[in-house]
Amino acid sequence: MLKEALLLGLSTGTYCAMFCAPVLLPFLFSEELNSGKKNFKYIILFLAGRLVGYIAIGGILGALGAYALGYIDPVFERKVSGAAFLVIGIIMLAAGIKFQNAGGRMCAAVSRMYKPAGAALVLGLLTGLNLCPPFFAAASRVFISDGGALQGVLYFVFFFIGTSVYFLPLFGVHLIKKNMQYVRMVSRLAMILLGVYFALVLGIGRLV
Amino acid sequence: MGKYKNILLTAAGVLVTLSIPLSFIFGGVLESAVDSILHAKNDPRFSGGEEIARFLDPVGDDNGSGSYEYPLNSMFDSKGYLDLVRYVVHKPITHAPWSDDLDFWQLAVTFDKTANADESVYSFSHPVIHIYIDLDGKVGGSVETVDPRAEKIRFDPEHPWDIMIQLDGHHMMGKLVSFDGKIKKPVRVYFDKEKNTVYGRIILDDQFVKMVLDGRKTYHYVLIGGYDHLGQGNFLTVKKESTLRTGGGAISELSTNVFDCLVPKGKIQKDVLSSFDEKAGDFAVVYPVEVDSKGKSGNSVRNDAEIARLTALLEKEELADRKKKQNELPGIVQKESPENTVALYFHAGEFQKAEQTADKILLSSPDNPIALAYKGSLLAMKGGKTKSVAEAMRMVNEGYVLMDKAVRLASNDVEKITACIARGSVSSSVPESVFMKSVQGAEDFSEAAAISARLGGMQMQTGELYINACICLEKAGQNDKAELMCMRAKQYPLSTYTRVNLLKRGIE
Amino acid sequence: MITKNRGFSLPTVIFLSLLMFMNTGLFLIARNQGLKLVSGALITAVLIGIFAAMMYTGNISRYRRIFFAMAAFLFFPSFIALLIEQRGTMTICADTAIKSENPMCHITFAGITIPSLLNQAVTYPVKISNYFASFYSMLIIWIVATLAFGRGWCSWVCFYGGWDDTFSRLSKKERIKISSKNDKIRYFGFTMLIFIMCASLVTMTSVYCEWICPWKTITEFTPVTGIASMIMFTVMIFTFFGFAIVLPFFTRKRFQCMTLCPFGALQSLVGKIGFYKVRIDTDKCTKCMKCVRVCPTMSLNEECINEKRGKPLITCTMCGECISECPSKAIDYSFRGTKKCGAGIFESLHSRFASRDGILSRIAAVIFRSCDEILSPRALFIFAAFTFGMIMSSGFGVSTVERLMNLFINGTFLLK
Repeated sequence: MLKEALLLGLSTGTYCAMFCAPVLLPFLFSEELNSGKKNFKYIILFLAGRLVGYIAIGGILGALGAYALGYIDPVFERKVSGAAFLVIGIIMLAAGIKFQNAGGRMCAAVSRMYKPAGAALVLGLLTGLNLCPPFFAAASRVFISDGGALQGVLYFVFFFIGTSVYFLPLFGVHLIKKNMQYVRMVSRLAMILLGVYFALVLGIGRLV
Repeated sequence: MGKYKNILLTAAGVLVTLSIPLSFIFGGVLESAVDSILHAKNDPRFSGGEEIARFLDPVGDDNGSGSYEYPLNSMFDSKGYLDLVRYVVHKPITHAPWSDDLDFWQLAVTFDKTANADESVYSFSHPVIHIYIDLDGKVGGSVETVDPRAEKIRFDPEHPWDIMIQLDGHHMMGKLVSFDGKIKKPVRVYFDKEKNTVYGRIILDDQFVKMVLDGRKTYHYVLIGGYDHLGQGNFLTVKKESTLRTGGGAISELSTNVFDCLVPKGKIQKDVLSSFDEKAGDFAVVYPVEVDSKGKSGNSVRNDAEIARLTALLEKEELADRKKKQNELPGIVQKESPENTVALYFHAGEFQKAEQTADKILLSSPDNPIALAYKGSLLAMKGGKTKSVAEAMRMVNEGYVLMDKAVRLASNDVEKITACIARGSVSSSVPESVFMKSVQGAEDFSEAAAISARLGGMQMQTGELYINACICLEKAGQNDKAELMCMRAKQYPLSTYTRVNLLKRGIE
Repeated sequence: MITKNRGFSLPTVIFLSLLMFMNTGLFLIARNQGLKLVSGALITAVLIGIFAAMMYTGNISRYRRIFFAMAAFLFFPSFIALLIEQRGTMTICADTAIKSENPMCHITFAGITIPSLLNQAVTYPVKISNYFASFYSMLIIWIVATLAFGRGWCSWVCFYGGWDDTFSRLSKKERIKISSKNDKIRYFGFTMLIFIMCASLVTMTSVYCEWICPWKTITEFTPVTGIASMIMFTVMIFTFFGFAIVLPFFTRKRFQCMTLCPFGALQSLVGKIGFYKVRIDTDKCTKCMKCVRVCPTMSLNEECINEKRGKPLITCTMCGECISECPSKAIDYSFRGTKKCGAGIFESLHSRFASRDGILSRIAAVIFRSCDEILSPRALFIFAAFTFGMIMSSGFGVSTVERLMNLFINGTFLLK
């Protein structure tokens, strides 16, 4: 079963990339990545956040078993995803505003509160909660097996390892040097737009 | 800048500039090339979800238990309005984009013909569609219809239904009811006039109905009746004789009001619908089709071994037929009319002689449709064998001019059928990306088939003509319509050619 | 060899105009009958006139603008009429998605390319083939245009660009000044591109089409049935009037194309492989900065002129405004792989015969000079770009004129 989890992660990892990349990539490009160390740190924090999210869900679903089937439905999934996107959007908006140096007390307050390392971790956790189709495939296996919380956790850990392979190329992001000041400027502005879109359309739009 | 580099770049510039109009002129060819690499397809989320089951129903069986007739009023001016030809079940979908509803389950029903005869909301005024679905096996459900006097049938006790969906062209929304009456909700209806297809979307906002999301097997009864807004369950009543308001052909009070229905493999519609028990006073029992969301279910099966056997048989038959015609030719050519002579030479493969004969006819009668049709066809065939692209296009276009004239001037059935077959045959052979004649070819073959059916006689030919229409439609990318042509072909005695082509498309 | 006033010689203009006439005739007149034939002939006559004037006077920018405006304003009436004939309404309904028969717009590529590749299915309800605006046909058009002239699409082909191009030229002066140093405005299009790509990847639909596109106002849009669609509608109206009409008028810049269009930004990136380029001859350049002031997409700034980079910034749409404006004729179209603007391959032959006496030598000189001009990068580029723009938009122009004639004769704009 654990081998199956790993294979499921590997085969559907592109989906995970589709959901995670739009959050992680602008974040990485907007930061001052002078060295591989910083880049490595942010990606590891992001993945750690995802892992925490997966472990939590694996444990809960494993413990609930088939009982959860009656409650995990598209509406519930949309609410969870909506809440996650709302917070993701707020964080990305905060990151984008911080970089604009627009002045004013609001911007200064945001700049003080916002910490990139913490943001990476929280973004990873929230993206992990985004319930995508491969996630449901994994979840339904956990329901059916009814093996308890530990099995659920293990299943999702191996699923996580399978999907994380697709993040390996990101460890080379810091090597992009050409026109980096423009890439950074554009990414920072894009974070604001993405923050608004995630928070309002995918966040509040799904919760309401 | 180096002189040679300058020349090279200038030459490249000329090529780039020329490539622009050429890419538009040869756009069709480029599209085929791109398709051979990309094999792009639409995201099924937009069209209602992935297809998980496809059931084909024979064309022309909208006669209930075998003897039913439509009502006599002018709305029912031809057959086909109550003829179910295809039923497609989609996978239940969540978070659907570009849709009125986020989570739904789509069912699609295709008819042979539809029309808006009475200013109905949707342009399919004639049928009422009742789909009964068993969602959970024998756990719960009913074997009686919602309104016993509507369909006048019973259901298989192994699969009592849980939900019933009614779709018709007279209400903005369809309706869904559960067997116990606890759930009553609307069903969204869409209609595609070009494909004669009705789509019903069951919105998945109810806990009971939502169970289809777990990918279980479901069992579907699809029943088609005539729409009557005053009828029981909106079902048109069928009596012994047709009247303006009722259908005819019923042999008993217990006879069903269903004109067409889907039956599982191994069952025949007229046997199922006439299985009422007069003594016991029981209605006929109908059986469901199984829909498995994990795999492709349906009644399309491809038997490769049988296809290979029939293909070899077809080759032998065609060779033997051609040899026979060639042998018989000298004996009968002298006795036949010039038009028949052209046809005989053509079908025996003596194209040069056929062309000479056609030219002779056209000298004296330049508007002879049969000679024009064959001459045009031969010209196009010659164009197809030419090496020069420009010459080929010219000859094919010239051939079409003659064939178009033949179709226009044809005044009797023989001339029409000859002209249509000639033009259709060329249309099915020329590249679609260049000439875009496949749809016209399909129309030609359909018309020829209709004439052939009317004339009686060579009924196998009728089936073959419908198959050729199917091939043309497939070339034009209209696969749904192509499939229906195959179902039309099935109504007639099947030649080897027809059988091979049906089997290749998974139609038994 | 191009003459001092940047126009081509008469023999060259005649030859190229005849070629363009054959081109235009093939696409706009051939196989047409009745009203369509008349309208095709009319449009052809106007186009040839514009093309000949452009080539003869050398004033690329003025005549390109006229051509571009014509394409834009004649496109949308027939497009709307076509939609109404096909589906009875301008609005996009679920029916349209079920049939997956939406016309494909080039701007969609910015959002759907990567999701479609990952999804292995096109994430937009478009007809895949056998249609004038199918996925395959637009894909081929996009590839050909990119290989030919990259972002030149935005000034010669796009049938929406004529709107903000026209309104940016209506006012004589900049009422709202935007500094050429403002990188954020200049590169906001790339911000939009990243935003659209990321958002479309998450939702697996074309977010730009749903939420932002101003051109839905003149093509097709989602009907207002709830709060979300009301917001979409409001954004559409705001972006259309704000970015395509008002801001271009006040700033004299192509605001929509510069800041909102993700396709333009995408073309700036992928268009680096394009064959035709704009080059600045740094030896002739006097750094007067007129080109910087006149550029409608802020693709020239003081930095790139002072640093003698020899080319505009990545966002150049090859509109020819700077070419027409430059007093020292330092800017021109060129082939890729060259730093200078192309010199004629027949220049030496032309010079040899020009210096000789005799009627034959003069004729030879004229012929070689014309050959030189015809094969110059400028002539080849303008011919290519004009042809592309003509094929893309003038079909609709013919249809609009045909429909207008039908309106006068039969009282209806619709043909079916």
